[in-house]
Amino acid sequence: MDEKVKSMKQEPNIIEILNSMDPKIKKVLKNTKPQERENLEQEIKLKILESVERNSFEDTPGFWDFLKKFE
Amino acid sequence: MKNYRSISKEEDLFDSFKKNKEAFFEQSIVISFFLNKKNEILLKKFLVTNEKRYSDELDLEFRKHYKKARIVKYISNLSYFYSIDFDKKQRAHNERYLTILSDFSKNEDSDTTNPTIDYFTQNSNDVVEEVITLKNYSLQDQLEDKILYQALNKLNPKQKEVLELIYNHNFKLKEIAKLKDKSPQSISQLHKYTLKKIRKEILALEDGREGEIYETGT
Repeated sequence: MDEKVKSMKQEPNIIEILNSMDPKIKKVLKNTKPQERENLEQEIKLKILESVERNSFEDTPGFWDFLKKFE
Repeated sequence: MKNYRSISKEEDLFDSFKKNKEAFFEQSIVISFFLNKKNEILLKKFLVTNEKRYSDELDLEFRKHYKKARIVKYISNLSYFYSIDFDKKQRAHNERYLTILSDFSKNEDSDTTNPTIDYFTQNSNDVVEEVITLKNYSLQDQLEDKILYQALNKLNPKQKEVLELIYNHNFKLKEIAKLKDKSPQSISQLHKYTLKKIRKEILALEDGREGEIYETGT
């Protein structure tokens, strides 16, 4: 149980991130015709969820590892 | 309750740590990491106590932060490129499958029974209409200056077309880009290059002509 809680703490909340990225998404919607923007928005959000599911984005450096790179 | 001495010791350690690792603290990912004061506190605690639990937590928090930054960047790029791609596909699709308006109203005046009245409903911008109602005279036809006329002859069809659209039909760069399915930057570059070329040609022609002018006195 402890382990599960610990791993949950490590996962960034994707819904949270999706919401915070909303301004950016709204901005790129301008790259298409107004009629298509709703569709595009749905497709982008879907793509995001899919790719975050797929990729792990793991392998990030820790504080001390990263520090070493600048010494 | 921290006393004054321990607080200042904390600050000193932190400051000297920062001074020691200048390059590190200039990294924007590090800057953003320490925007969260909790992380700053963690580092300070570690510097003072040297306890593993603080350095471990610091490590973990940094990993989380870095991972989130990575995801945000990925989403940012994905959104942008996908939107461009999406739009391209939409346009290609619409060009291929034009909507044809059909008029099925019974018009007693009309002789024909042809229901299709309008072919051009894609895009519906002025771009297409303007192309249809082209002025009859090309750019060259409207020139009086012989040298300029000759200079324009040296251009290739693409270059001529850009000039034609800009100066004769008053298209904006963005409109031309849409029409030719290219980027505005490439149209702008083509335009600038064409003007350069004309300039060069004119100078060359004028050089050649100087002799002529002095002879005939015109």
